[in-house]
Amino acid sequence: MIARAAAITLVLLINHLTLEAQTSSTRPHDSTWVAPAGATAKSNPLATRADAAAGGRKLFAQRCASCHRDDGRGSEKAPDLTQPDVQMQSDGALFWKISSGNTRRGMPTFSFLPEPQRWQLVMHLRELGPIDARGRKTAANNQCTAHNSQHFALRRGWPPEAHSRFKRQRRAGLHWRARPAFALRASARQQHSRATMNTLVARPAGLEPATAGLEAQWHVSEAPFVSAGCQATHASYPRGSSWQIQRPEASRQSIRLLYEGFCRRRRGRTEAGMSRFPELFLPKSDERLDSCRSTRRDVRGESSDGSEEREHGHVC
Amino acid sequence: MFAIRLVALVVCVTFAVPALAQERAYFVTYDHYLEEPGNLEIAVATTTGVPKSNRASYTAPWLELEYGFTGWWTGELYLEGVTTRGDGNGFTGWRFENRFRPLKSEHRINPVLYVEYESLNEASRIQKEIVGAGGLPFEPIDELREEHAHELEAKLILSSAAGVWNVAENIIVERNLSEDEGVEWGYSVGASRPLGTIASGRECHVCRENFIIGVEAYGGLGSTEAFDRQNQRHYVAPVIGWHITGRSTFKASTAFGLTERSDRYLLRFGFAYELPVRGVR
Repeated sequence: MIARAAAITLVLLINHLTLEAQTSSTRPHDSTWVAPAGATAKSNPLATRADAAAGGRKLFAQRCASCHRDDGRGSEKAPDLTQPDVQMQSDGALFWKISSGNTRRGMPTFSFLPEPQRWQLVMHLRELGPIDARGRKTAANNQCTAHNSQHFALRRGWPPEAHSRFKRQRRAGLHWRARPAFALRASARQQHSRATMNTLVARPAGLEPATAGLEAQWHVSEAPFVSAGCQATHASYPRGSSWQIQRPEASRQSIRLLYEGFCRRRRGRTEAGMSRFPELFLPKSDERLDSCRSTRRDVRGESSDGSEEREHGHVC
Repeated sequence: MFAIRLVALVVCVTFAVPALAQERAYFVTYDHYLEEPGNLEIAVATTTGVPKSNRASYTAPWLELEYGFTGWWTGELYLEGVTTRGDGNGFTGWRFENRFRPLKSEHRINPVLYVEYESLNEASRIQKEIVGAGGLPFEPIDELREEHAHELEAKLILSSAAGVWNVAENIIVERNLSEDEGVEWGYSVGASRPLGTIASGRECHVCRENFIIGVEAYGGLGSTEAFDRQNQRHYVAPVIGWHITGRSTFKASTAFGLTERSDRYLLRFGFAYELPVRGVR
C-alpha cells in the first residue's frame, strides 16, 4: 500500500518537474496581435488613483500569474510581459489586449472583469519590467518618478491660450512629419480647460499601421518630466488626466524627438525642470541637457524651410 | 486505498497553481467565456424542484468536468442523477458538450457554438436547459429510468460585455435521436455583473468584488411538431455567484415558474473548483 502511494507520488512529482522544465522556455509574442489605433489612444482613467495599483497586483496574481508567472516573465504558455515590446505599448493597447484576448494563442478574454479592474491590471503591468544589473528598472520600464507636487502645481493652471499654442505646435509637427525617421501626429482630446489631456502621438515612420502599438504618446506639457514608459499621476489633477510616454522599439530617437519638442515649447522652464528633475529623463541627465541645447541648434540648422525656422524661433 | 487517494490529493493540491475561476453566475445561460486552456474545472451542483399540484419534490445532483482544450475550444462532461422524495434515486445519464469560439478576439456580440450529445433517461431532472413543451413526467423513477433517449443539442450563444454587465442570449435546438419528436426549441437569456468594480489591494473573501449578481430567464418554446403555448415552461431566476477563493466559486439561484406547466420554483446550488492540469506555477 505504502509502496503504491509512494509510486503515485513519485509519478506526480516527475510530472510536475517535467512541467517546470518545460516552462523554462518562454512563449514568443504574437507580433500579428496589434491593438487598433482607437484603443491604443485610450488613457487609464485610474491613473490618478495610486491605491488602484495594489488591486492590480492582486488581480494579476489571481488571473494572470498561472500563465505569465508571478513576476510576469512568462512561460511556455504565455509571453514575457517584462520585455520592451510589451512595455512600450500604450496603456490603451494593453487594456485592449486584456479585454479582447487572443483565443488562437491561448490568451483568454478578460472582458468579464469590470473595466476598472482591467485598468488596474494595466497599472500592474507597468510595474513589471526589465531590471538592470544593479537591480534598478531600466529606462524602458516604468519608473514613475515624475511625481512632485511643486512641479505639478506649476503646470496646473495651464493658460487658456495653451490650446492655440498647441495648434501651433501641431503645425510645427509638420516639420517632424517631414523628417524621414518619424511620423508625428497630434490630437487635442479635450478643451483647453482640461488641457492635461492634450496628447501627442508618435510612431516610427514607414511602418505599417499594424505596428501602431509602437506609438509613443505623451502629454504636451508634462511629458518631458516623465521617464520613458512611465505613467505619472497626481492627486491634484482632475480624475482621468494622465499622460505617458512610451519608448518605441525604434529606440532613443523617439525620446530625442520628444525631448526636442519640449525644448522648443518651453525654453527656460525646460532647463529649470531638467536641472530640478534630472532623474526623470534618461540616466545621463547632463548629457540630455546638452542634447537639448544642441538639439535646438540642430533643429534650426536642419530646417531647410524658412517659415519653419521662424516657427521654431518663435516657439523657442 | 484511502492513503493513496489522500496522498494523491495532497500532492495535486500542493502543486496546483492559483488561477481564479471564470465561473459564470448563471446555471442555464452560457456566456462567451471559455475555460482557460489547460484548466480543469470540477463542479458539483443540484437542482431541487418543488412542483405544483402536490407532486413530490425532487433533487437532481450533477457532476461537471470542464476542460479548456484550447483558447477557442472547451469540452465538458456531465454525470447526473436524481432523487425524489418517497420514490428513491438513480443515475439518469451523461452529457458531453463542446463549445467553440469562432472569433479570435472580443467583439460587441461574441458568438459561441455549442454542440452536446446526451445519453439520458426520462428521469433526468437537472434541467440544464429547457426545450420543447410539456411538464416533467412524474411516473416512478424506476419506470422513467427504463426509457432511454439519445439526444443531440445545439446552441447559438451570443454574449456581450457592456460596461460592467455581461448580457448573454442562448438559442437552443434539440433533437431526440431515439424517437421522432421533431426539433425542439428553447431559449435562455441572462444579465449579470460583479458587485464591486475596483479590486481592493488586500486579500479578501467576503468583499464586493468577489460577488456576481444577475438574473436569467429560460424556457421551452415547443417543437416543429407542435407549438402549444399552454404547455410551455418558463422560469425567471435571480442568480448570485461568490468567488470564495482564487479557485473556487459558489453560486445559487432560485428560479420561479411563470407558467402552469412550470414547477413552482427551482432551487439551484453549485460549487466549482478549478485547477490547472497543464500549466505552470
